[in-house]
Amino acid sequence: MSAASSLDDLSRRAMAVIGIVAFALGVAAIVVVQPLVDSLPSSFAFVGLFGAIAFVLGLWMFRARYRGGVESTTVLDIEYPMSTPTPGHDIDSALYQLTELREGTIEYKEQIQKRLGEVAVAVVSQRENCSREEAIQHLENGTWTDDSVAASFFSGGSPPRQSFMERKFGSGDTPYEQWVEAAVDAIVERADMGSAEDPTTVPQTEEDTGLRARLGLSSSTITDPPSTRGTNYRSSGEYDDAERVADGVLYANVVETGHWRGITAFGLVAAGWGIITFTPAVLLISVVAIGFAAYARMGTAPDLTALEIDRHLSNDQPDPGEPVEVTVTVRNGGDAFLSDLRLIDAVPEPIRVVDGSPRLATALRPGSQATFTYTFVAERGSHEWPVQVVARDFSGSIEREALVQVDASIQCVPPLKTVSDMPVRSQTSLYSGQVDTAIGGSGLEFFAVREYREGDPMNRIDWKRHARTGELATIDFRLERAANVVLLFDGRDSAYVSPTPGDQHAVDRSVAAATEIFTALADRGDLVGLAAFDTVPCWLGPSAGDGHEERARRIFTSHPALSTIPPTKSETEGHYVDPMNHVRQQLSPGSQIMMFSPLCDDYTAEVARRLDSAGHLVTIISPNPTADRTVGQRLARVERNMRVNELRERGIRVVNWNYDATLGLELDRAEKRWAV
Amino acid sequence: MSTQTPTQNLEAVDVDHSPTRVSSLAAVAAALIAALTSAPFAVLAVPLGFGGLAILASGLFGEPSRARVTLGAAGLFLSVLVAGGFGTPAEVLLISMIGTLLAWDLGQHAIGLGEQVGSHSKTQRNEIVHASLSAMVAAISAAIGYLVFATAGGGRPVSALILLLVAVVFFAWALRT
Repeated sequence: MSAASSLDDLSRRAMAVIGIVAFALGVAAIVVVQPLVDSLPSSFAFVGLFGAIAFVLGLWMFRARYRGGVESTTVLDIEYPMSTPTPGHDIDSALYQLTELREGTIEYKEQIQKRLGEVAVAVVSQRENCSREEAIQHLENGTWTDDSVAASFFSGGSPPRQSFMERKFGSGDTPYEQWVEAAVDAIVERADMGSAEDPTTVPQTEEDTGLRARLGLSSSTITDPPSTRGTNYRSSGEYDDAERVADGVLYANVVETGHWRGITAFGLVAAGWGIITFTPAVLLISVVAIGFAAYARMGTAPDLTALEIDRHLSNDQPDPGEPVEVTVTVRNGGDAFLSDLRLIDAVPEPIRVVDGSPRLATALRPGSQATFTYTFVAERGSHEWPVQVVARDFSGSIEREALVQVDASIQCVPPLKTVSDMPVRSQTSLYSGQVDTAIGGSGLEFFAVREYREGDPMNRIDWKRHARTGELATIDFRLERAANVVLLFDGRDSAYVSPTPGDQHAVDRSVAAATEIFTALADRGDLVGLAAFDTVPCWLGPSAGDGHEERARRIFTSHPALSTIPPTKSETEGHYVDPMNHVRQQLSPGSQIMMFSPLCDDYTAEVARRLDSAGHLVTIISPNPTADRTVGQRLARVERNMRVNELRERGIRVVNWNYDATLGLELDRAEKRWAV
Repeated sequence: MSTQTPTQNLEAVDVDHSPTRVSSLAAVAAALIAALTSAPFAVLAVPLGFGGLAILASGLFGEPSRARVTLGAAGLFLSVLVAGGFGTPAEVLLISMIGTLLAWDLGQHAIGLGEQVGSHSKTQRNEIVHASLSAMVAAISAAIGYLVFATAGGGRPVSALILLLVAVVFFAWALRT
């Protein structure tokens, strides 16, 4: 490879030398030396031959240009927040691969069939109030729905036939898609009859299509993997081979852009055409193209070591959701003119830009500076990010990419503030607090009057009764105890879901709710702990006090298990460890559990059931991330509703928190239901 | 009474990857000059020139497309060649050629900047510098060429032309741009 390239280099040089010699002779022949002219061949055929060669070579280069594109450094759309999938995207993508790409015909069909089957069995057995076997019987006989197309899905039928008109002018769906859709619709219809609550339709349409268009999604069935948008420079391996050239400046790649590729074609075609047709003026214009070709060759990759970048933040400790104004100033501290400088302030994924632009294209003389301003909104966590610099030489044919580390970083700490009141259940600790128990003792609220027992305090003896009847009786007040609550988070990959790709995902929403609940409980004197089931253990035992609150706040801010960025695949793969292990080991028997999970898979429901069996009282606060735009999303919504119903039947409290409602409202609603 | 912080109201900005304005306009202006200067001496050049201009403009103001910008520039270039064949003066022809190449360069620059930086950002300074540098290079090389052309005058030996052409071919091969 290197031998070939050095040979290539050598031949290029040789040609350049021949070119220079020929040029010099030509100029000399035109301007001065008459004898030289006489000694050179001057036949018409010779001229024509060279003209033709030049012309053909030029045309060939045009073709090369037209085919070969232009290369440049990729810049990601860092302005947008990261996008998380919507529950059901796995079904949608399976369906997409199956019908559009015609891949994995057997596996995907089996997978879809199985998913649908499980949901259908659950729906039928819940609605018909029958056993699993009976439900399967119903499905196989096709007696579960009136829709014959849907009924045939589980009874071994085949996809419906499409008429010619439908194939040509219909929705463009394949028969299989229509079949699945019919089955899902039937399941949805069946499930919604007398359902405990109607899942509110998530508003979508315009903004949604806009976002999808921005994502470059043409079909409604593909979902974007979260990794393609936004970027995390620290974790991506893209900059592994970057070279540190100066303090805080990292050189990444040097790219030959090919901006001028094909310029010589203009020159050669013009020269050739001018010779063939004997028009000196046309021959002359090739000079401009040759000039540009030389210009394109002259440049070297610009030196960026002397670039001084300064970032000023209006607030480096914003609350989540608080706008922060950023001013970035770049100064050319070197002594070379930087003619083409593109700066991208590469904000990390949890940050989204809401005003202005974090990018600038400029040119800087030595000593001059440029500024750009934008406003962003951050999510929890500590964030620091580099400035991506793309610089080109004068002509734009060589491009260098560099990352410049900038000191300014932000700490986005969620405030712990009480907004809503959280109803706790009756499992309590030994400490006094505010949870009403069904036990009499000292307290405030009247509970019962009982016979006097020796040792009862004097102030609780019912003296009026004693005066009336002469008997001694003691008044018991309702004993108020502190609850021992562990807030348990679902921080697995599957919890990073949202109803529309750019929305706040369920984990962020859970943590936002938990910060409120945490203070609400702590203010009442309850003992509150934090835990998450994730591959990274996260545990803070139930306790109280200022120090405890500070520790909790730190976990909310930057614990990897509750991070706003989904865990990368490499962390979740590998040998399977039950993420609940470490929680179960440390959980004390008297703790009640408040669980935060979108309930999008069976694992969380299973965890809740197991904790319930172990004697903990469980309340689940579940942000509802489901949507109903696609088949898969509708199915996922039914699955989740079934899961919620099942949990409620077991006596586990579930607060179904829809995305368009506030938590306080949902809690009020839930409390009314629980009070009955 | 809400965990729904104001975040919900602060929508992310729209990222606009269309070609940047200044360079696009300059490219179309250069293309217009090229088309106009190649037109008056040859009727045949008119459809080629203005067709090229239209294609180039559609590649910048419609769906951004480098291929269409190149195609448009090629159309303009053909119109220049045709105009040259019909006896357009060398001075006018040079301006035509400069217009064509600048249109190509600036059009591509606009698309590239649009892709990397986007037209929602400040890009004017960069664009103006790029355009002036390119214009300067074009002017200088045209001036040198014209100087040789003018001093040579008419009736120059064909062999000298061949040598120049040989030089151009070898340079092109060596540079491969």
